[in-house]
Amino acid sequence: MTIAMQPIYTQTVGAGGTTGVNFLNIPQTFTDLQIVVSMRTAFAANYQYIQVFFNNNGSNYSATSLNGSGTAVFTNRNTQIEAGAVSATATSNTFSSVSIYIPNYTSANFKSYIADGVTENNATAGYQSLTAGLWRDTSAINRIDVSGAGQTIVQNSTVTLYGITKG
Amino acid sequence: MSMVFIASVNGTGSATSVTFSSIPQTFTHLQIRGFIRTAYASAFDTIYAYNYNNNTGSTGSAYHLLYGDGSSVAAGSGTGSFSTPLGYCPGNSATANVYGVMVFDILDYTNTNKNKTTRTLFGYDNNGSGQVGLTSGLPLTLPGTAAVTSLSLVFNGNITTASRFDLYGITSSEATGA
Repeated sequence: MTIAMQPIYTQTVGAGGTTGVNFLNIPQTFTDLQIVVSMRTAFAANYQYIQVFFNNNGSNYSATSLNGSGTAVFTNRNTQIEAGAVSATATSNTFSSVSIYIPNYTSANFKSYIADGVTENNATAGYQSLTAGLWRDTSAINRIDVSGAGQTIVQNSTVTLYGITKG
Repeated sequence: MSMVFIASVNGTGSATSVTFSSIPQTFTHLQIRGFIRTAYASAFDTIYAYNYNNNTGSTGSAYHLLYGDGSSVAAGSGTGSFSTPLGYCPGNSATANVYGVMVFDILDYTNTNKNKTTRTLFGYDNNGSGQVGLTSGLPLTLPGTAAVTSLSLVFNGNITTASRFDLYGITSSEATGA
């Protein structure tokens, strides 16, 4: 029996928080990757975007996103996942829910991904985002860094990397 | 194995809700995948999450919606909600045989340090109309930070017999060394 989706590793943030979580030496044996994020940061706002870098390389990223704020819809281009993390002024004990799908991560093409994320808050302002991202690099992905874009990621945040096998 | 089938429930044609009860507490995340149509006397019906952990009172939920209908986009929100709207599906006056699709996630559903945030992708195309969107919910009364042991999906109309809801458990503990 083929196991289609397999957890590779889970990073759980401990006391004191962290500025980022890293997945190193990613096996090159899967077809696709998926990252599932439940995150809160110490940023003094009700949400924060998250930044995903591949292979310890901070260049050649772009993203297109469609976002809702609870009252408005907006679309933008940047390099992040907009609704990536709940932050300090949002409802306590509340974390984001984000899925990032990265197909063909070992291919010699540029790397595309798609993400859907939400940051809930017991107030009018809460964010949802659909993001299509691109890393203009043909290298196989062997490392992924997920950060709160400079903000401290708080305790009990989790990031899990899954490998997906076709067929 | 990472994603494990737990249970499937079909519509009966005579009930407006389906319930998953005694949900195993052995997974990390839950996902419900739905194929949905109801007999509600409208082109579309609303999908609600309710009855978390057998709570028949208000869920005290916050929710946020982002959706489009082919001609415009919209965002919405609410607080103190009796139940949590997850999205929309075809109702009785939608084109025959048109069904909606929903993927509903609850991360860390047994983690008592976290309120339970729901994330739902939904959509249907009705050959000339339709809706697609991403929604989130924060049911604070129950489960709040408690583990999710049961929940219901509720509609305004009776759920058709060809509608199907599948519950999956997703693990996160099978490390391979990365």
